[in-house]
Amino acid sequence: MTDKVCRVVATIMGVPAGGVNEDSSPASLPAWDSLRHMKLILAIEEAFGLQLADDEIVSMTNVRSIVALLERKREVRA
Amino acid sequence: MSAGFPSLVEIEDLLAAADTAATEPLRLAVLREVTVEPIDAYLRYLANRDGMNGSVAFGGFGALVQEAVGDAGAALSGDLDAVLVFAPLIAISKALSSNFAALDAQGLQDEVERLKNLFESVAAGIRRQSGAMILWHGLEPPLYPSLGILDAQKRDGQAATVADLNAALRATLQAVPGAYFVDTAACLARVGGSRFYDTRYWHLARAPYTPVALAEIAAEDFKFVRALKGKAKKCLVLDCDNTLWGGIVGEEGMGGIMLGKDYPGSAYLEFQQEVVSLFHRGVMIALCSKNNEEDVWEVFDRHPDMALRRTHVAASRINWRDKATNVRELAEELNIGLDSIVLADDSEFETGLVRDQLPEVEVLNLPRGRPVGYRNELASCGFFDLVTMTTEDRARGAMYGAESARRHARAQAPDLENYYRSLEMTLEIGYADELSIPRVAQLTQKTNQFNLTTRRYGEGEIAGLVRSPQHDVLWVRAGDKLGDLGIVGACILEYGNGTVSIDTFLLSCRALGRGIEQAFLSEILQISRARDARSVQGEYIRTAKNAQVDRFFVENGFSERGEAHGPDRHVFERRLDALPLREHGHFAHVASPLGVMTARGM
Repeated sequence: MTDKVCRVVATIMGVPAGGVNEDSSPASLPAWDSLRHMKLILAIEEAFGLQLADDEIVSMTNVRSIVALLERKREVRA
Repeated sequence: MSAGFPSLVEIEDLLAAADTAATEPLRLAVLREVTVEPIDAYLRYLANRDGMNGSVAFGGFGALVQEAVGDAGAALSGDLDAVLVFAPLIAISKALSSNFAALDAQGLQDEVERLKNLFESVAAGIRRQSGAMILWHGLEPPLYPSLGILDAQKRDGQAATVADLNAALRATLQAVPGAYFVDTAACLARVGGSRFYDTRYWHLARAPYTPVALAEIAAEDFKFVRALKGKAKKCLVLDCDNTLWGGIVGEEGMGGIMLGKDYPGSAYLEFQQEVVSLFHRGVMIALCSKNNEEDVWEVFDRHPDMALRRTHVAASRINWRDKATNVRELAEELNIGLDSIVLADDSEFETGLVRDQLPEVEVLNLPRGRPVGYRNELASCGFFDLVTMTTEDRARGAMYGAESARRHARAQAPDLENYYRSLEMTLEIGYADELSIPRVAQLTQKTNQFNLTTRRYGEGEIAGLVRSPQHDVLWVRAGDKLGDLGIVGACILEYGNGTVSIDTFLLSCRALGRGIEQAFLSEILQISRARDARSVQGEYIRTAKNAQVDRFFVENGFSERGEAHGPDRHVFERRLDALPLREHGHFAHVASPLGVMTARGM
């Protein structure tokens, strides 16, 4: 899960795949501005086949929180 | 994701891996009152699919008026192909979008007036700064009008007001050359309201549209871009059995095939009607099928429910050879490039073969056994879309009829010169004006083979050249006793320092082989000399398709200038001091700005 999220983040932010880890955030990646954040959420929704709520979107502030949220949603569905 | 589109991540990966260095650039600018940034991926993806290297520059958020009217548009600077305008009602009028029910009659009228002025000043402001094609996304109708069911009863309800504003926007854009109305409401209808809008991102980032909506809009925009860039298709090649009708005529006989008012024959009939619509839009229709030829023509001539008739068909290959060979022959017979052709066929074997052997040909794979989907498959493809419909387009079908009469006359005539004279050909040459600008722009966009420089121009750019004192834009119109061919060629001249440069010289493939190019060029040389030019410079830029004109200037008294311009660009020159007298050649009648010449005794 973490790897897949990191890959999506790297592609959307336009950085090498190795340049993203669990701690990556708008503070550590200069390309991660609010517009890229929107594009990232849309790409994650496509990649994982789900829809996030508005309050979930604003809570996704780094890779770790994105992974945690996606795992929580997966458990709820399972 | 939207039909035919990969996901955002797949698009970025695909574009990162694509070798775009050598491909033609496509520069787009987006002026907008809302956030639409994710459309960038879809636009670049579609550019790549059409063999172009797309780049998209965004104007400031909510800065449409400042950038267009205040000439503060950094996004509008530089050489652009198209400017996309996104100004949805929710962003340009709170009064009409969110407070409609509170408006009185005067307030409504004032607000409508303000928006009409905004449309006009923004469209004019963009055109003042750039000659690029303008694609303005029309207003979407409200999903839930603020007056509820009452709204639909009122002539000045919210939905009716949006329709009025769209009509005004359409009229505004029509008055600006090269500006077009994009039907966002049709995109909305195809996608559906609940999938078109993203209420989360509207509130989080003023981004109203979902990725599905943006993909649909980008696909709609690209119908215009393809037309501008000369990528629109010219000919639809059709299979017969299980494409035009259900069943196999060679086995079931004419009475056994499915075609008519009842299911499933009704689905084939609807498909045929869509084909006939394309014919009336100027698309050439050809047949390529594995049948006994007489079986097919018997259906065309005698089946009572055929919508497609023999007169719609410009050429055919009905035989048992492979379809790649047949399609190649059709391209030669119709004098068009393979990349101007779309093949529609229900057989995956045939479409696969053509795709493999002739990758330039576009293929429309009809879902075999599901003819109810055929019509939309063809109607939604957008391959044939043009931004203008000229008189020439409307009459093309009849022109092809006259063409076969000409072929017949040619077979009868003892030699070519006699044949030319027997046709009583006429030529008219004139300066481009409001009426002819759309056709001239269209010719620069569509002509590939007899085109010396292949420079593509939008209507806005041609209008700019017409106004420029350093340029002349000329057209040539041809006709004969069998019919009018319409405007078939164009030339753009640039004057400076006693010389004239031929920026563009082209002739439609329909008009080749009758000496029009020599006559047109020789009148142009006379016109140049009349404007005190001492010499004319011609340019030939080689493309994959215009090899037939590489010796055109040399054959017409020009000599190549020695300097190096790279392998694909050649510059030629001809002095104008020893120009022969004007003559009409084998034409019965030649009219140009220099006067009328007529064959003796006519």
